[in-house]
This record gives sequence, C-alpha cells and structure tokens, in this order.
Amino acid sequence: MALQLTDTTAPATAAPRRVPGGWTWLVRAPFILYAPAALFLAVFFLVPLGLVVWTSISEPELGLGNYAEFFASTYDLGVLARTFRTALIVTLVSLVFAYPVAYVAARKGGTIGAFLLGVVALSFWTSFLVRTYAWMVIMGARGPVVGLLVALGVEPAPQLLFTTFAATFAMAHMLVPFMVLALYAVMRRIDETHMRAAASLGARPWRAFATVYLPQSLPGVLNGATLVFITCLGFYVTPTLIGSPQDKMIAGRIGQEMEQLLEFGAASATSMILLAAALALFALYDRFFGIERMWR
Amino acid sequence: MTTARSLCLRSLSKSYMPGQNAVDGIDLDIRPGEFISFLGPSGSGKTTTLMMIAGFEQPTAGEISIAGRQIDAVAPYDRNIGMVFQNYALFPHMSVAQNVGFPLRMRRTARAEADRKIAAVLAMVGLADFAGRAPKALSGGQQQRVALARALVFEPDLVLLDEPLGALDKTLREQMQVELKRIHRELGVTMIYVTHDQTEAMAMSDRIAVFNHGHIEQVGTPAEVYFAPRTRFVASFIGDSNLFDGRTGSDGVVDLGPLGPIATGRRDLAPGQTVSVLVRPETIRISAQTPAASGERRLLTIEETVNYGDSFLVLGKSGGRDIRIRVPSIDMPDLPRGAQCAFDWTASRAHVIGA
Repeated sequence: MALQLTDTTAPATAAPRRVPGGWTWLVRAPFILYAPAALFLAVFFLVPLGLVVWTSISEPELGLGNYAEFFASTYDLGVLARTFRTALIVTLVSLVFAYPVAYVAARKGGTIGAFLLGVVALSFWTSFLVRTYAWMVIMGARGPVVGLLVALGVEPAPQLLFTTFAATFAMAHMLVPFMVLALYAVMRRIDETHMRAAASLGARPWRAFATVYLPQSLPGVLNGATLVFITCLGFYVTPTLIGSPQDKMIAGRIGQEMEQLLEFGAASATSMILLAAALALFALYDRFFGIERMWR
Repeated sequence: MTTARSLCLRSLSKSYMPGQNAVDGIDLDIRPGEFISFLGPSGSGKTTTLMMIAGFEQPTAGEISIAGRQIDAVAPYDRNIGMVFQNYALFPHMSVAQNVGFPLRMRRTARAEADRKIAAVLAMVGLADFAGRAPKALSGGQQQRVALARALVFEPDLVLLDEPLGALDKTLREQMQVELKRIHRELGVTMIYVTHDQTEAMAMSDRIAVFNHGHIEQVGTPAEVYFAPRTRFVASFIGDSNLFDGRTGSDGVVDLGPLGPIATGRRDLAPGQTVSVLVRPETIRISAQTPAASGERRLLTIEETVNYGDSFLVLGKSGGRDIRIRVPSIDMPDLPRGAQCAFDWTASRAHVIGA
C-alpha cells in the first residue's frame, strides 16, 4: 500500500544544491511550494471530513450507534448491496460501449477515430446535470423512445423514466467517456505491427485480437473499470432524478437521511461507510496494480 | 528441416494514387533456398513489394506465387511466411518461449512437439537459457534473435526480413549478419532481405535486386551488381564510384575527353555512342612520383584525403573532373593538399554503361 498524499518528487534527502540568485531556501525547504495546496486541502477537505467523522459518532449521542444501526438495518445493507451491484453493472455496460470506440480511436491515421474522440470529449465536457435532464426528456412518458415504442405497437407503453434500468443506462452513458479515455491511453501505446506480426505467424484476426491485443489492453480495462466503479458508487444526481425511488443508491440514501429524516449522525455514518468502501477498493487496486499506474 | 520454395513475381504493381505506381510492374524469380536482398533507397518500392508478398498490401495488378501456387487471394495468416519486423514486434506480455511458441500455438501443434521445436530453434539462435525471460529484459540483439526464432520455428515456406538489423549498432550488426548467414546455410530456407544498406546486401546475399522508383533496375550476384552495373543508378548506389561520360570509338576504346581514351575491351560497342564508364575507386592506382618522372599522362591535383584506417579516400581533380581513389593505407604516399601526382587505372576493370 503506497497511498501517499505527500510530495514524493521533492529531493528531500539530496544535498542542497547551490542555486544562483539566492533561491537556495527553495531547494532546502520544498514544502514552501506545496504549502498553499496543503493549506487549502486542510481547510476545505480535512476539516470538513473531520466534522463528518465527529458528527457520525456524536449525534444523537456519543458512540458507534449510527454504525451499528446501519449494519443492523436490512434496508441500509440492501442499499449498500444495490449500490455495489449497480456500480458493477454500469462498469460492465460502459466497458462494452467504450472498448470498440477506444479501439477505433486508438488506431493511427483514421479520421473516424479523431471524430469519435471528439464526440467523447464533448460528452466529457458536458455537465452530469445537463446530461441527466437530457435523459429525462428522452425517456419521459412523452419522449421519443416511448413514442417510438407506441408507434411500433408496444402496448401498453412501458414506463422508462424513474426505473432502475433508466438510471443504470444513464449512468453508463455518463461514465463511458472516462472508460474510453482510460482505454485509449493504454491502447495508443500498443504497437500496431503486433497485429501484423500475429497474422504473419498464423493467427486469424479474432485470435490475434484475443491473444495479442486484448491482453495488452487489460491495464486500460482495469484503470477504466476502477475509475468508473468508484465514481459510480457515489453517484447522486442521476439515480435520484431518473432512478426508481424504491431502488435508492447509497448517495441518495445519505441525501434522504439529511433532508427528509434530518438524521445528520446517520447520514454522516453512511458517508463514512461509502468513503471506506471506496478507499478499500483503491487499496485493493493499489495492492495488485500500483496506484501510480492509474494516472500514467 | 524445411523445404525450400521458389517465389515468383509477375508484373506486380501497387498504386496508392491513380497514375502513380509505388511498385511498377516487377518481374522476379527467386530460386528455392536463395538469400536475396531487396536493395534501394527509401520510397523505391522494396518494402511495399515485401508487404505484398506477406499479404499486408493488396497488389493493384500482377501475380505472386510460391512454388507455383498463386497466393494473391490467400490471407496473410494462411500464407505460411515467416516475417521479421524492423522493430521486432515481440509480444511484451509473453515470455521468450511463448513468443517463439506463438505460431505453433496458432497451428495447434502438440505440446511436446512444440516444446521440442522451441528448444531447438532457441538453441540455434543462441538463446537456449533465455526461454523464461520477458522480451523487455533482453538486449536489442537478443530481441532480434527471438524475432528470428519466432519467424523460423514453424518451418515457413519463405522468410521475409524487413531491415531487421537497422536498429542495432555497427559491431552487433556485423555479428548478426554472420549469424544470419549461418542460419540460412543450416536451414536452407528461402530468405528475402529488405535493406537500404548496400554493404549489408553485398555481404549477405546470393543475389541482390536493386530497386529504384518502383522498378527493379538490376538483379544479380553481388559481384555482378558491383562490377557490372546495368544503369548509372546501380553504379552510384552500390559502392563508391567514378562515373565518366564518354564517346565510343573503334575496338572498344571510349574517349573520356580530357581524361583521354580508355580501352575497355568491349568490342561489341558501335562507334560514336554516348556512354558512361564506371571506374571503381579501388581500381585506380596512384603514384607518388613526380608527374614528369613517371611519364604518365593522367595528372591528379589532390583536394582532400580522408583516412579510414584500413584505407584512404583521395579526392582530386583531373582535367576538370572529380576523381575518387581508394588507396590501401600501406600503399598511401604522403600527399599534401594541392600536390600533384600521376594516376593510372586498370582499363579491364572499367565498365561501360548505357551503350
């Protein structure tokens, strides 16, 4: 486990070099460079996080009651399980959509690839909220999808909006760009002559893909899946606005505890459990693959 | 172990843009077991021709056949041609043994037989102890050997090598040339070697096909293309050369203008034609004696001498023409710049082009 929040690039042990212009203090004390960022994080991240931790063990009374209640409640555990299941499905769906797109985009010299990448980037830059509202219109009772189904004679027209299917589908759409970019970064580095080499050695196209290309793209799959899965765990807007109220995900449950039930302690405890789950996944990823590889 | 196959190219053409042929009607017969080089500058069509043989490029016109069987419609994976790529194209997620075993796996060779073949071919390229290594853990030369082993292990009908030694340093390259020749001798497999390095082609080939602008200018043994080039391009591309313009007289004598007549011995030449005469720099002898004493009529003014260790390149002018002379170091007289000396050539080694 090497989850390091501190700066590792500063030459902490290196002897101070003589820097012209009296800037040696900068080399001797590199913390001055990251002090502003550290201060910002402390004030706006660590302090609020500490407050959440404190709230979770102090409201309504001091102790681990909120956590005990969470793990005793079949409803809350169900929400947690559903959140993980949904995240898994969303990850798989976005992988299925993203892989071919990234594959085509990563091939050199294609205008289709550049176009696809542009579309992905455009979608990437559009806010989650805007895209969520777009899906509400598309999947609404008077929307084009229902209209098409009715025109094709599907009776009665199925309910799309406010279903788990709609939420899952929309979340996959939100996260496909992350998956595409993660895959693209790795696929771009796969040598194109490898497929030719495989062919010259007797591999038919699909076998060449399965034995030579796919294994080399797996780091990208893993990066993308981790990114999408963890992002999906904390998804709030889309499942709340599009999903079924009965099939809440954990972020929606936190919102409900905060806004409707006014149980701040319980909400804080649920948040901490979500955070712990995400950190555990990161730790698992780091254990097997190294966290720094994710961002390369 | 392998059965050597012939390869036949008939009017082979490849065009990427209408009216422009990257490869323009190539005819070539490669004999079974031959080591042939495709030599030419970049853009001459040699690599495109190789890619068409491998099946990665579709010919615009013409035919390719191996041992009499036409293969134009056969997919690359069914051609049974081994190929060594310029950047090796080793699969990084597989060990050396898995890389070499890949073509056998694709052919569903039985495990025991595959293991035996992998061990044999790795021993042949001198990498018997490296089977379990990752390609990345090997040096460039070793990676090259793995790529070669992988292209040989399935007993291909033909082995194509696309500038395989280009990325290696000079010493390693020369070592690999010798190695490659030994392997060729041992296996007797037909090999096609693409290179732009003329010394490499000279050193290794049974025959050389010299490419230029999508054509083959000449096919011949290294000695033929070196001493009897058919075109000025071949003469200047292969080796160092002096090319003089002249006019044919009677009895094979060519008048080189200010350089005087040269008796080429080519009695078949009709008088009065404009021709080029190739005189290789190492066939010219230099004499340190003063011009007056030697009685020679050809005088050289030294402009530059370049020391290559084993020999010197003397650059000078005679009768307004640039002359290049290669002198073995042990025969090199002391010639300062601007000095004059006499020179003479072996007329029988001169070669007439373009009669």
